[in-house]
Amino acid sequence: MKDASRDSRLRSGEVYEVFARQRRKEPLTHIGTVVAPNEDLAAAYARSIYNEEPWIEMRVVSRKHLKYAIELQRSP
Amino acid sequence: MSEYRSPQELSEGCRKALYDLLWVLADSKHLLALRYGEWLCAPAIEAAIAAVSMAQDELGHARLFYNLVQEFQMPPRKERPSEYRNIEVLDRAFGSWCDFVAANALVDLALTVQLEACQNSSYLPLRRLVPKILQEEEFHFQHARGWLLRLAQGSEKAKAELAKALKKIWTPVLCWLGQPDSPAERALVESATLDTDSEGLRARLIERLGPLLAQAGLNMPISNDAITGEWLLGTTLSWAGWDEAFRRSSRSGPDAQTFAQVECFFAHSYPVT
Repeated sequence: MKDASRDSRLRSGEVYEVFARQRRKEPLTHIGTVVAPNEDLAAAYARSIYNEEPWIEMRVVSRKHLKYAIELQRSP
Repeated sequence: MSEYRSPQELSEGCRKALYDLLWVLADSKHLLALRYGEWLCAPAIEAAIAAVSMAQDELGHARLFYNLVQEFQMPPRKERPSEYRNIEVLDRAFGSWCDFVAANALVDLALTVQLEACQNSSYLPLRRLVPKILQEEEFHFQHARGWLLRLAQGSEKAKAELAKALKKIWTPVLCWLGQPDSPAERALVESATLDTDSEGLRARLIERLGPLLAQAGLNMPISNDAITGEWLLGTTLSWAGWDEAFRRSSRSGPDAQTFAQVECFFAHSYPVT
């Protein structure tokens, strides 16, 4: 076995939102997030982590590319 | 164009060459699966899962190629390291995550390029397997690209270590694509089992790697022709001692620890007796 402690510096990255659907007639639905250093790895990670359902399409997008229509409100 | 449904339909030279190539592919993918699978302790849990998922793919591909080998109805091989035809750089476990990424980028891609040359193969049992494999390989390359860029754009130390790992396997991987103008290669290309020769395969490999290595700022012995835009190889390959049937320069095979694992796996999983 290799060094069991994961290198935290290599874990850095940004949040990517993961969208997917199982049937053509359904819309892409938000199914979760992954943290990855770039788009390629975000897609690779999303595919191997969210693989329990028979998706016909999956997409990832960096959260920073989602424009606020309403900015996150303070909790009351 | 002729098409072939079974080994018996092939000319003798082509049959031998294809038989050898299928072993090479099967053993190389088998060993790649093993190496990928050893990285449950990848730098991130997500990377570990992706590594194991790639291992699963490779093992599946290996099984398909071992099945194709079976159809040749040749005597069983002796289970000893010197009979293994895996690409030499997988003889030993990866020493570091950089080794993993380098193999993901170079070895996996070389295997993919070799299989792309089988997409329109005149040998139908092989041609049928290729589309699904290539679809999965697309993801492996995406993983390789992601990590290559991540490491190259990280610390200077990480980048230097990655460059070292790439350089270590660079020449063996290029050689693995085959010795130019060997009788085996001629038989495979003339029968349209493969759509290009080893030089064509190497050209495709660096065509794919060139832009990525340039983007990553990794300096490897390839250059981009300013006029044609073509990527050119700056490495002279040496063929002393090269065994084309095994695609290896030495018949040493996987190291003892590795062999114990593949042998055990074979005994239980494949109908190769």
